Amino acid sequence: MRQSTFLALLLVSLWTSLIAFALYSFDAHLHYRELTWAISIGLVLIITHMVNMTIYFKVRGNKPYSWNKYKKQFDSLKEFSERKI
Amino acid sequence: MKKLFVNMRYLIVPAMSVITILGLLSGGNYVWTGVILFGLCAVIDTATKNIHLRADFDENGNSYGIKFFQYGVMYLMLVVFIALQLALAWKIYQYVNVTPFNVVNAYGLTIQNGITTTNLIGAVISAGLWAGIGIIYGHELSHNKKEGFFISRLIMSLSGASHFTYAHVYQHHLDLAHEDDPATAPRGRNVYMHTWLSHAGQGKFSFELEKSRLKRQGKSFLSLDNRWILGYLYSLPSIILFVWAGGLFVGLLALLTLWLIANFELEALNYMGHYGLIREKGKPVEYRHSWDNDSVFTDWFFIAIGRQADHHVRGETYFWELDDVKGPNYGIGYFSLFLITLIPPLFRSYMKKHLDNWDSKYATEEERKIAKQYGY
Repeated sequence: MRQSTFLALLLVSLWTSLIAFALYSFDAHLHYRELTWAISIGLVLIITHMVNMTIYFKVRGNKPYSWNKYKKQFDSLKEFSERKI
Repeated sequence: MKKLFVNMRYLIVPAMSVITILGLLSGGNYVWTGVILFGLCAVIDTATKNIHLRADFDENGNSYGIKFFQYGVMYLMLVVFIALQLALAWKIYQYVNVTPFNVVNAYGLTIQNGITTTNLIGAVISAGLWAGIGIIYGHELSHNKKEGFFISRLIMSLSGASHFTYAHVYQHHLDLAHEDDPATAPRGRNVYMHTWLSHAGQGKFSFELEKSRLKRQGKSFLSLDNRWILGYLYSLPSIILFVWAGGLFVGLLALLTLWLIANFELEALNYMGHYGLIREKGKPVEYRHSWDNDSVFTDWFFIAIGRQADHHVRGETYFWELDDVKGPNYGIGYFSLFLITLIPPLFRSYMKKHLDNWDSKYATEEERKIAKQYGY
């Protein structure tokens, strides 16, 4: 795993855990059937998701889907499939 | 009669989606209906893989498709997919409330109240599989410049993927088969990794698109004019519904699973459509830059989304007018191929002959050079 991917996952996990802890501290898990609570929780969750995506975009850089990193993998696969048994 | 047949044959998904909803509402083991139907489709698709039909036109070259009818169906599918989520939320509500098991009759339907954990899992998978199929309508409508585009955004937002509508039209169609397109999978990448990279890549495109657009207009990124933010806000009703019905554990877990399945199906379609294909930057998109899947069941079920070669060259063409243009073709349907993609070593082995064929018969000299750069 790339270092930047690991860092992104770590930051995303920390941010999500922080929000989960905050929701728990406010007893959100006991009030979700009240409409205003449900709407507020929904808003908090979608904002959390947007922040998570932004963290990933910022940390992981411009092209996390770059083809180059598959070159090595493909080479070893080709080598493997062409190996004579 | 022919006109009726041509228009009715694309109603497989609407009919099966409604049956899935009825299964969820009926409760008991019927909640697995969506999973069983999906399996049945895979069997039919595999059994009919050798039947390939052309698009139908009358003697004057006019299509039999009725635009008003087909668009009406696609718009109605938004309502169907909302109903699917409501039906699932109702079962989650019963599960969390530990509703006693009993049978009641309502509107001619025998309904089993109460749900076991196993059946709740079945209900979530059923709903996820058919919510994911909603992509085909989100995709088709994304190519509409009027209200259809907005409906596409709403359909995709039910799966938390509203960014798709912009990224598909303004990135995927322009950067197809090039490294700049996250939806095109390079050789060697498996479908699971592709699902995340393509999802995040398209999300990033939508993010950057709005960032530069709002900057040009002198507006703040954090505003309701931001269509990346708006897209996520369209998903808010789904989140509120599932949180209200099932709370922060069961409700949220069910919604995340539903979104995961739906997005996996979306990205699997992208994966199968362009895996390993290469285009030189700046050169026109041609038939050879997409894999066709046009066996009869795939064609009717997926409203001709498998006619990728024609679709990518004539992006504004209605799905019922897309035809076989003799592009590279897997020769099997999407369901059969989807099952193969689930096992990456099997998929790579299956694709070897197709990619060798593409490299030798379809690729240009420049495309072969690019292939070599990546070690293909």
